Amino acid sequence: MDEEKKVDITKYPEGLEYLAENLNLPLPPAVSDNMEVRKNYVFNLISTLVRQ
Amino acid sequence: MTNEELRIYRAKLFRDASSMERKPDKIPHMSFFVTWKILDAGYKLSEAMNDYDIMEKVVRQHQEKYGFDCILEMGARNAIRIPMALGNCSYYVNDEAGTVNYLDKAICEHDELREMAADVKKFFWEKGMARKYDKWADKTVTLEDMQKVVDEQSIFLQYMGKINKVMQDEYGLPPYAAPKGYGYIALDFMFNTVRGIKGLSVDMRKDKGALKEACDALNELFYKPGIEALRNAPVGPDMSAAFDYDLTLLCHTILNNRQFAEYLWPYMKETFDVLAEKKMTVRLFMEGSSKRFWEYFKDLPKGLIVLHPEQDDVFEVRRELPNVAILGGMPVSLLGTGTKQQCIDRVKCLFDELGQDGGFMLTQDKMVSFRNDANPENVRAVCDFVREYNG
Repeated sequence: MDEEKKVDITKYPEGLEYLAENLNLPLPPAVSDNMEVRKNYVFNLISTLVRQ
Repeated sequence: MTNEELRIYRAKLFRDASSMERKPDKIPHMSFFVTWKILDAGYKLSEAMNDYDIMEKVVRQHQEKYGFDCILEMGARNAIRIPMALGNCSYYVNDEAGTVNYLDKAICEHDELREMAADVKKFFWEKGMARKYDKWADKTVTLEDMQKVVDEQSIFLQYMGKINKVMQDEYGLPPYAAPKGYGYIALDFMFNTVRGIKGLSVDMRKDKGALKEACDALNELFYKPGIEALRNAPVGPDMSAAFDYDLTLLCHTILNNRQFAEYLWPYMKETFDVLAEKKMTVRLFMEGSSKRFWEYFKDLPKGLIVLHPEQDDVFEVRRELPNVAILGGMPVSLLGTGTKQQCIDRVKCLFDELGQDGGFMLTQDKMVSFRNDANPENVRAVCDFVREYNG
């Protein structure tokens, strides 16, 4: 549980939305505010972690 | 030759051999050494896998010592720092034995296949992650933990960009592949991660309907976008790389012909058709034996497939599949336990029998991983002989 926001990161889709909004992602400036791009980035990261 | 000229020359060697239309100027020699090269450079596995500066030294030393025409693996395998940022991972590194073992742990149970098929993202997020990571399971994961994972992935990608550039600019090595999209076929995903070897074997006998639903859902999410990216890529090979595409398969090792035809071949065929349309070449590494499926490859056009067989006899591949180029031929067992002369005799035989008309590239039959997989003196003798014999 992230105490500051009281969001359970481990729940979907709340966790995805929270991480997409709040993580500092290495995205190009042109798309760094695009929420769909941010969600895709975060889900791809989760897929990588599941595969590792 | 400048390093730039050397890189272009080496890439052309692979391209000419793969095309099966032109005999290359010489037979190219690829490194398929993975964790072995860390030990060979005098480091512990955990040292190099946790420090990208050391990993860079390892890759540099590997090339300076042996002088390959291309290196397939430059420290990307077993990227343990990314999962470790979340506290634990499925790799077990044993420095004393010089081994890395991967825990074959399913993230989905048989009776959950339909639940996963209904919403893969939700399943991965809530159950898959919890079964891999303790902090996810006990719900103590924080935003800061996830930021560390993002940062570690960025550091890893920076390392990969740097080592590729270093090896191109300073050593004249072409990248081994220039992927134009990558489609992860569901059955291999099920085998490697979702259900594991034992679980998938059970699924194929117990409830084929549930397995089919799960595979369809995974293909939708992980295979189709990759194949669409490939479809949208410009026509023509990327001549700066040894190959255009890489397809490594493991799940076929537990399949019979009927299962191969149902679960794997349709996606392989779709990928091959798009690659052929784009006039691209794929390195197809089939772990274990793939011989019982060669019938499927017989009608594929020349210049499309470079088959890298792990356990099958390369001379038999040439006889049975004259339309397929071959990458391989050097048994790791010989590099590990043979004499220098036996290793050299093997290379001479390969070059004389398979390399005379093109269509052959030399590399090791397996990922060279463990300390005893190869005697460094044998590796050096082979590399020296390849340079001399090639002229």
